[in-house]
Amino acid sequence: MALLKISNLHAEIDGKPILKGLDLMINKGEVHAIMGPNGSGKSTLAAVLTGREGYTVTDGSVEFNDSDLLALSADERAKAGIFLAFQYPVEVPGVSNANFMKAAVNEARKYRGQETLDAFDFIQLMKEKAALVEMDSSFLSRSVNEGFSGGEKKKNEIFQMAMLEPSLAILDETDSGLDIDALRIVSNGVNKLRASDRAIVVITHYQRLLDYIVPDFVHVLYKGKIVLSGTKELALILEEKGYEWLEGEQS
Amino acid sequence: MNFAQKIEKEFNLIIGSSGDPEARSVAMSIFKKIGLPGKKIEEWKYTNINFLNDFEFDDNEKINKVLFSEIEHLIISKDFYRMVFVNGQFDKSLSFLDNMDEHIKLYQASQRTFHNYNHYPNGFIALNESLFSEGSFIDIPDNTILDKPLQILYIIKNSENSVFTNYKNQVSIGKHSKIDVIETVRTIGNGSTFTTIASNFKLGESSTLNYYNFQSDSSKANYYGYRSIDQSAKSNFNDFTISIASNFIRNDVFVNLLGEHCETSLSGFYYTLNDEFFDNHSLIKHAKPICTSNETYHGILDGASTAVFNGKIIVEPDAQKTQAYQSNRNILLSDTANIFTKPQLEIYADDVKCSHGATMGSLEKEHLFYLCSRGITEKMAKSMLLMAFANRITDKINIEPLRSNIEKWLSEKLEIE
Amino acid sequence: MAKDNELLEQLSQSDYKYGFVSNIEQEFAPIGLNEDIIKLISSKKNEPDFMLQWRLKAFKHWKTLKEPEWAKVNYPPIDYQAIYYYASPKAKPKKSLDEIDPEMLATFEKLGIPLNERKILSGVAVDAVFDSVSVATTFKEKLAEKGVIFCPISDALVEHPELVRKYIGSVVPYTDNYFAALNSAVFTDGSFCYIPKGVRCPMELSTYFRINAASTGQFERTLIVADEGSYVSYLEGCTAPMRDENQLHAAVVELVAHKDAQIKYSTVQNWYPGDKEGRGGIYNFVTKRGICLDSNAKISWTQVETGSAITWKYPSCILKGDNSVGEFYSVAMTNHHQQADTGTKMIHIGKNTKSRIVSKGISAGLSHNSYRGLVRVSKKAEGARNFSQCDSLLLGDKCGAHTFPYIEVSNKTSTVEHEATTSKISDDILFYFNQRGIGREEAVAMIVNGYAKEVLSQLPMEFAVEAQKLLAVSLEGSVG
Repeated sequence: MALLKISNLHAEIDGKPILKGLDLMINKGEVHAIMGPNGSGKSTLAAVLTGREGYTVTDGSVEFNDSDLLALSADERAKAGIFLAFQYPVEVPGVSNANFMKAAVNEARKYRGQETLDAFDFIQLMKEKAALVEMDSSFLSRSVNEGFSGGEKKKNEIFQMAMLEPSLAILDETDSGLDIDALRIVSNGVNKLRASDRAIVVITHYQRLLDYIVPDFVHVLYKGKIVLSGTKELALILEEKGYEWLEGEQS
Repeated sequence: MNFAQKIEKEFNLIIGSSGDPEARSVAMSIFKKIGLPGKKIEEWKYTNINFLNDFEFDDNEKINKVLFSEIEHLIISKDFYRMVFVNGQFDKSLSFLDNMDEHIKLYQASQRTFHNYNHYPNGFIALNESLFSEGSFIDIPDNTILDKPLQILYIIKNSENSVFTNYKNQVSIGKHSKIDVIETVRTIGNGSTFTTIASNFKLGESSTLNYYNFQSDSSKANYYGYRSIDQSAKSNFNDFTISIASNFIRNDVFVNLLGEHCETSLSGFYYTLNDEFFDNHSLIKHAKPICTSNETYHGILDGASTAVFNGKIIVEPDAQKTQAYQSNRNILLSDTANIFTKPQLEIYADDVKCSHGATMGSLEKEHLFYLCSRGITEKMAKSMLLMAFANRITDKINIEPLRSNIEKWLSEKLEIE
Repeated sequence: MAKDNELLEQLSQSDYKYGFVSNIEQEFAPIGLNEDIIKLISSKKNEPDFMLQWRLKAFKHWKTLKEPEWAKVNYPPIDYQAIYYYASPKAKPKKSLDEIDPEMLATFEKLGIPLNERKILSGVAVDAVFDSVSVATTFKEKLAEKGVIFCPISDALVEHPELVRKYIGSVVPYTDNYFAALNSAVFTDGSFCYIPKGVRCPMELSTYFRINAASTGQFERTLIVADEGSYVSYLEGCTAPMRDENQLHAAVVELVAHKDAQIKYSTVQNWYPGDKEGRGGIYNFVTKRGICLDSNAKISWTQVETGSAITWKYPSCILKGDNSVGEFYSVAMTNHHQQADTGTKMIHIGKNTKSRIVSKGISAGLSHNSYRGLVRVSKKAEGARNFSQCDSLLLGDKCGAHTFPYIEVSNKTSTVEHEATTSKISDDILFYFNQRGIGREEAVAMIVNGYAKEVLSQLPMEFAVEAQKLLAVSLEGSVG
């Protein structure tokens, strides 16, 4: 059974078509990489799947766990198990990471009909997950992303992913702006979160990240469509030949 | 003759001889009702116009014609278009219009139907409307880019007696057109002067106006400048107010953003040395969405001078996606200088980004120390820091001869080689 | 974190939970205002003659004044002759808490202010003011052991007339403004605190103000004097029943801090704000000012303003002593038709005086929220420093946020910095919350509380929790 099934997806922003008939099927336990040049629609795909305002789906469908994903609001999608690691995580002054995560985790638990966590269990859980991305637990009392370095922000995204245990995690250009140490830590965190009941979609421009998070499948998104799919070797070919190569392949 | 008698006399002379007598009479009756702006009015709380009490007029005084040699040093560049007014009248022989009339239409005060005020923000504007003797009345057609800046020089020549002159300007700029204007008032003589200049600008779609108000007048010169700017969509207005000498300067700049995607920038630099009073008031009204306004005023205050900054930004309910930024920074060099600052925001739309900041203080000790530690004398270090502070504004001046003129003045004052 | 959960529960509750009316037998002075009413108030309180004379002078002066119009607030003219200036519970037990009308105890209990000392959270002494009179003051004896005087100002006038006489009107003279003059003429009660030399007040002092009777105005006067080297933290809370009419609250608070003394004054203002259509609510026209008389004194104002139909108040500091410090931390939240014009004045007179202003305005609905402030550095205030941060947050496109900061500097060695921003909650931040499964309403509540955190953290613990809840409740219906 497919976890996510995207069929003939068309989407536009401000009347400008970006996705033009995208098909993609993802099963539990798989790691998919979506590569493509700037402007090919990678971030639009992430935005449409997570329900960001300003994007209009004009055609096609998205099924998540066999139900219509597009009918849900952004927070319902999150509670249903879709997680987005943002390319540019925002700063939220005055709201601590701990309070933020507590609200998020308990919302998800309520949605699933589980008891909310008490403060003690919650702090234990946070410490455990913070260790996954080698973050000092002192960051928990700091405001969400406020004054964080680029690397810290990305680690925080993966920490939140660990806390929320999504069934589908979308990592949007998670490698952008990371030095090699941070990249290693973030990738290790993601690898530890690979699981048989979870799918991960890695959106990236460069092949570099895929040395660390090795995908089961690689797709090339070009001009709003998946034009090529393959295994991890495809990423190497792309790296070698560049995206211009696609132009030739297309015609 | 005192100031009140002078007003009476001027009015009787001018009514019926030039312009629209009805408009002048209405303005005079309003002036009589509201009077001169006083401290009880919020916008004039810190502004003292007592200098007018000392005015003494003698209308029998005969003034010789102004010679070109007397104004030559005031000309920013001989290449630029130039309109020269002397004691209230246009002086064609001192002006340089070259081929300007190919680009624009110029009118005399007597030939023009005027912009009428629906409302007079203060008594000086009503006074100006009832008494103005001349001005520049300019229409710039669509798609016209004036090839050189226009310098407007207002010369006052007197002996020991006071002179009171009023000018009204009206400039309408067509679509996609552009003009640079430099305004300077200068006194030749020893008497007190009071000059009011009220300018109304209409900016057509996608047009640009760069306006430089550059005042460096005598210590008995007093100036009231009013500029009202109506901006249509996508138009661009850049205002520079540079005040480096005079006794009294008050600027009121009112900008109305009446179309979408307008950009407005108000920049100011003032430097007081003795007992000057310089006052910059501005009001930017964001009436339409997606406009940007940016205000930056820097001031250096010495002696027993006083400076006032009052910037007001109003964002009306329709003006979503407004971005407005305002900053006023002051350095006080003396124990007897005063600064009064009031950056105001009135916001009625929610999707806006507005901020303002104001600082007052002396030079940063750490900066001074850093320069001194590199072997620079304290005096020079101070001058360099003040120069850098001034350059934050002057660097934005796009007319090279004007910029170097101001920077030269600054270097002399700060004794920088 | 437990706080946040409670906070969220509050979100689902109804708007104003203090809007009930207590059924307590009361006596009123005749309606309206004239010299006889003032004499009546003064004689009811057995005041010394100097007080009566002062009141009468204030009244005479008030009659020459015009109601101020400069604030950015609109309201129909107030008929000062249609107000009861004195209303007090009939049974007036003053001596012992056990003698208080049980209905009165129940009222305060319902407001979360138990007057029974055994029940009170230890560490907070309470003076409860019901309409025109103080009905109970707790822990008086315990405080007296340390020499701290904490009592209704009407008692202080009888028991410590010399102290009151010395300080009353010394910070806010009756000539100060229209509402201060009115208050000076007709004030009926309020709290008086005196902290003797070198004493650190052993507990938080608190006054709880309750307007109950219809058509009455509340005119309380608070005077706090901290003698050399002393410290006091004072809290003020206030509520009123829901009524369709507007009621006037015109209070005066004066703080005097001597050498090395420190006064921390916190307010959670929750007067009835009127209903969603703007009917009713309190007109809160208050003059609050403190003076740092001598060196190293410190006065700190913290306010959380969520109530009142109209708020007009500017808690201020006169920094006279060298090295003295003034602080103003404010959160003002307006919703529906509320109007708030609030801010502070920091008057730097002494050398090396410091002040800090942090103001957070939150406007929602059709409300208007203005910050109005003055920072003045006089010629002699060498080395004075001020930092001001005034932020406004807009929730909705029908409200207004305004900033009117006056800065007047006449000393070159001083440093004054002012920053202000106005913005809305960005769509990016809201989406970030949504993507983590947090819905819009909850996200806004969390963001607003985060925004106000710097101010809330200045409040004593119990007040901070109360204030957080209040902000969330006041937000209700503002998130579209």
